[in-house]
Amino acid sequence: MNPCDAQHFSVFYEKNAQSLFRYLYYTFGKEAEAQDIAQNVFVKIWEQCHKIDGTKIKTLIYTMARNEALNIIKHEKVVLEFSATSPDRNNQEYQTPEFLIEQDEFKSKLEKALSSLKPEERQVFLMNRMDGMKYQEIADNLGLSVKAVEKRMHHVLVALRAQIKGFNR
Amino acid sequence: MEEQETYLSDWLDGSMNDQALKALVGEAEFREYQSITDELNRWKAPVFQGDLTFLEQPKNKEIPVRALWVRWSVAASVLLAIGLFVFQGFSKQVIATTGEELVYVLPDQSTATLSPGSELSFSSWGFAWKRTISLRGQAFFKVAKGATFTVESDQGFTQVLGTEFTVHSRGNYYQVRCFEGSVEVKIDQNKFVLAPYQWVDNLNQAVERFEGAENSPLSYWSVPLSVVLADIEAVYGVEIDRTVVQPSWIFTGKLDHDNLNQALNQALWPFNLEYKFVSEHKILLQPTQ
Repeated sequence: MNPCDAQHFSVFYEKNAQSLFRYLYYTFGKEAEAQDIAQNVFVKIWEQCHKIDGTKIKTLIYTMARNEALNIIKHEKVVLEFSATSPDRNNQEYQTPEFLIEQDEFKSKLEKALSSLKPEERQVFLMNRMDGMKYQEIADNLGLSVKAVEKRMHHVLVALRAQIKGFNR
Repeated sequence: MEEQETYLSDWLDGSMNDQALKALVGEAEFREYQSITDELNRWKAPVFQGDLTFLEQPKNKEIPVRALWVRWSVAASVLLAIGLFVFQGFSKQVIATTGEELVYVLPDQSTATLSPGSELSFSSWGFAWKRTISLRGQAFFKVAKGATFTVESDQGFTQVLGTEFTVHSRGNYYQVRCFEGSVEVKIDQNKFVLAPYQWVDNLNQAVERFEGAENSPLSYWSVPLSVVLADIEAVYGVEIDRTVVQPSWIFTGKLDHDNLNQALNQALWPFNLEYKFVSEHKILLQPTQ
């Protein structure tokens, strides 16, 4: 693609802005900062479009976003929060108060467990689970091998299960 | 052994089915994995709020901003160079030390703009008849019309009549870029003639085109990364351990003059490298992640 062509650029933006923002959120857990950084990356690309190799642009935006985030976001404890869709209203079994409380508890345990993972593992896992990105695509965007992505996916699920078991004890 | 397994990633992307995973880990463990993925399916991530309005605004024109100390050092250097010219006799040596850029006016009114950590020398006696300069480092030349003007370096010769060009000679590397007129370059036994916006170096030894009219000190067209890093060392007075840098890595682009971190980022990101200060002036490079 030609990053200096407004048409090309907006298609690229529509396709990638959401994922880039989410990548930042999954990695650093600061929503407002992630919004700003993702937007800034695209503004920078647009302003400096003539210096940019259109074939490497996808990996580039992830690298730029990461570098900028590391400059801006202090090393604090990551707190991830997600909203959840309400449970199936037609199924009576899933509407009992006990079930709802249990589900809430499980949600916060899982959020806590995710927050305690290494950022580079969490980001890969959530890009696949929440955004439905294929391993190959994640690998390309982040400059990793598919094998590395697979290892992280596996390890995260192992770690999440262990953590949640730990909370139950 | 456990660390090498990736069956859960196979299950997560559907290349292993539920039955197979159950058979492998047992019913109870399978349920626990499934409750995690089910819970995640219920979740929604926050939504990006950005917009494309910036496409309609005119772009910020990039005006290179030079730090005050650079201006002063340029001014001081010119004065110093003139002083040297008055007091010294036949052989002139002009040195731009680490961190300073120097504009030097030659006796024939040609100008040489030396990048930091570069030096040139010439014989002031008879310069008007035989315009020959030796150069180590990088310099941009604006040559007044007249007799043949020659720039000698260890790796090659460049000859012109009246033109604008850049010679970059750092370590074993030698590159010439022509901005105006025509330039003749001799590398080893080969002779090349450059038209405007053509360049040649001693690695490829072939004439090729470049784009953009930049001739500021830290602007590059197809230069080995190790040479770029040597320039950064000269400009900022640091030492960079570049054992990870491959000779085949070629850089094109422009670096900041007055912000070391920016310059390093600009040079390194295309190669997926990051840097670390091991002491105040020593920098170590390593692959990202």
